[in-house]
Amino acid sequence: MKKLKEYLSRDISMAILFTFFLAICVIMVCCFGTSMFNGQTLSSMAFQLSEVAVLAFGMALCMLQGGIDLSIVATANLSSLLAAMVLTGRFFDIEKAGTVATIVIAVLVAIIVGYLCGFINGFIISKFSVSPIVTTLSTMTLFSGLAMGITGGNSIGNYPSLFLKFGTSSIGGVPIVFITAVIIFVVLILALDRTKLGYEIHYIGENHTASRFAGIDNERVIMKIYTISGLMAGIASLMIMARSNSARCGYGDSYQLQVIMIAVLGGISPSGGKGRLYGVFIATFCMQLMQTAFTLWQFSPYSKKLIWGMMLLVIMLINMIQERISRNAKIKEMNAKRLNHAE
Amino acid sequence: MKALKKIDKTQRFLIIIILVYCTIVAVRNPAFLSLTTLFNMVRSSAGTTILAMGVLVVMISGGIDVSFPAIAIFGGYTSLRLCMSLQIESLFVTFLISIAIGILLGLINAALINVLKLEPFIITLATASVFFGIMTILIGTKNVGASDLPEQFRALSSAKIFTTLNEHGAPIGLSVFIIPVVLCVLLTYFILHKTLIGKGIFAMGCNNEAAKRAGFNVPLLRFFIYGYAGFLGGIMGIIYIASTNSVNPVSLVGTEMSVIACVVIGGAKPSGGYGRIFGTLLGVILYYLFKQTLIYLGLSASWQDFFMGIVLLFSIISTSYQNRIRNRKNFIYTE
Repeated sequence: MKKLKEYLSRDISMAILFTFFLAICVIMVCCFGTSMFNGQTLSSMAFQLSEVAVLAFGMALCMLQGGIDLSIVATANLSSLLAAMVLTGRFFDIEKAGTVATIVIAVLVAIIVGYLCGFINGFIISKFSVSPIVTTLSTMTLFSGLAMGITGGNSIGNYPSLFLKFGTSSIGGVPIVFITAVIIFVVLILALDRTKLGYEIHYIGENHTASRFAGIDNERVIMKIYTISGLMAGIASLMIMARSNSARCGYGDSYQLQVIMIAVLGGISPSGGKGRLYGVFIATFCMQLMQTAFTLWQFSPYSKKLIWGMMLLVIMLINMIQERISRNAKIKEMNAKRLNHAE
Repeated sequence: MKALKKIDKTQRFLIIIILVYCTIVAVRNPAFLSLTTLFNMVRSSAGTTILAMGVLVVMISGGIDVSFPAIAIFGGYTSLRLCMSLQIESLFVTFLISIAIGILLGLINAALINVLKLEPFIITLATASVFFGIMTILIGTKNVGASDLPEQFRALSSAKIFTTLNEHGAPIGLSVFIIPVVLCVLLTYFILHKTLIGKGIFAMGCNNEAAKRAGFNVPLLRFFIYGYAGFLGGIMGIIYIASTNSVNPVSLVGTEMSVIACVVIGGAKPSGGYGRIFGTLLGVILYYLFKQTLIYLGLSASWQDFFMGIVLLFSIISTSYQNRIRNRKNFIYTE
């Protein structure tokens, strides 16, 4: 307990996040009673939050480096559409290939498409020096335009039931999609904290000129980050497909705002360098709790959007105030030290 | 000759694309080369052109704004509902309400950016959903059909500057929408190139710190820039309602990316400091060419975003790559 307290006082944005999380839990219990937190609701929440969590990890990685990936939802939609076309036999006969082989090919297609889209982003940003916002904005237009052109706006559904099991079944009450999200989370956190790449990402986010002078190949790292982000979108697309049994371009338009909000709420600074991935995971839980509450209160999608937007503004305001306070404290400390020296 | 010299590389490239594309379409379908197509394009691109001017000014200042569709629909729809309930029939008052709301929302954007000192993209993304949410809660999302529209909207929608006969003998006319478009373009040109504010906007986009040192009041300038974007949004809101002739308040939101795409294709630097009105107009023309003539080529209109994306990527890559090479020569390294 003491350790936790010490830790929280060191990392203020984490402390804010924890307070926020507890506050939401308390409010929910007050409004709906403890029956809210039974196994069934929790597992249905776990089903829903997995895809958002995976997308948010990708976004958080890009923001850690100081960039942003706006094409992440468009990438997910494109790869889910292509995988759906494989699954429904638009490219080859499913009967001949067998169900298992088809599913394997579809999964590969989704992941490869995500990887490629991410790679395109990374390549343009690193090799042509285009700013991340503009690059991902244009690739977003390109990817969603491609998805729209291929399908003409129609949805593709009805997959083999074996594939749907990935999105609907659970092991011991824990959904498989959630387990997948947790595995990805653990892998990413290990990669960020224990590998060279993780350190390099933080360095570049903090100061990209300094990192270049420190001998880091910025371009290679940035390419890797956006590729990973695309990969996350590919995995999320499989979750979306398996859970909703359909793929449609324009699915999850509101995810764009939510994913950015989760990353900022999770303590990732939009200007880069600062932030922890587990903050993002906790922020996803906060989001899902609120989402469930909104559903119970029967809010319209527009008022939900209003609340997401308001929250994003409030979080940024809190972060700003907190940063200013800590900076002032630091300056005071330094001045005091200097005075001591003078004496 | 002097005017030709002012055309930069991007614009030349765009003009070539537009000409080549028009030739292909005209060969495939001669019906394309008619006054009807031209007048239709002028009418349907009016709103986008006005919004693009606002985005251009914001982008030159080094910022980005994605909340303008929300502002436009907030202004236009509120004004429409007010006119319906208060029985206002003056077109002037209609515009006035919409513009006032637009300016107010734009100033809110600027205030937030000044206070929070964060990426304008994230802030305007948040305010876009806040504005839209507030509008839906306060005013609702009721569709207004063509028959319920107040008189001034219907008059604006069908008013023509002049009418002629097309080759089949049917009357066609140039919509009155061209007047606000021309006024907005001229006003933007005046502000950007003939006033000190314009110099300040360019200076801000090139180097914020240098603009401050040169004595420009950057926060105040920001209020002007986002307020101006809101002002144009307010005008566009009314024109949008008049042009569609029936309003679904949800429909405009989500079009911000295409307007930004037009401006970026037109050669404006997203990092700020450079942007041309003529280029932006070419970008809008290209966008509407794709939108309206892909059908002539046998492709469905849903491929429009794809082609737009390709042109967009090509134009940003070519401009940024030239910059990068120039920077490398001076030992400035950017990723």
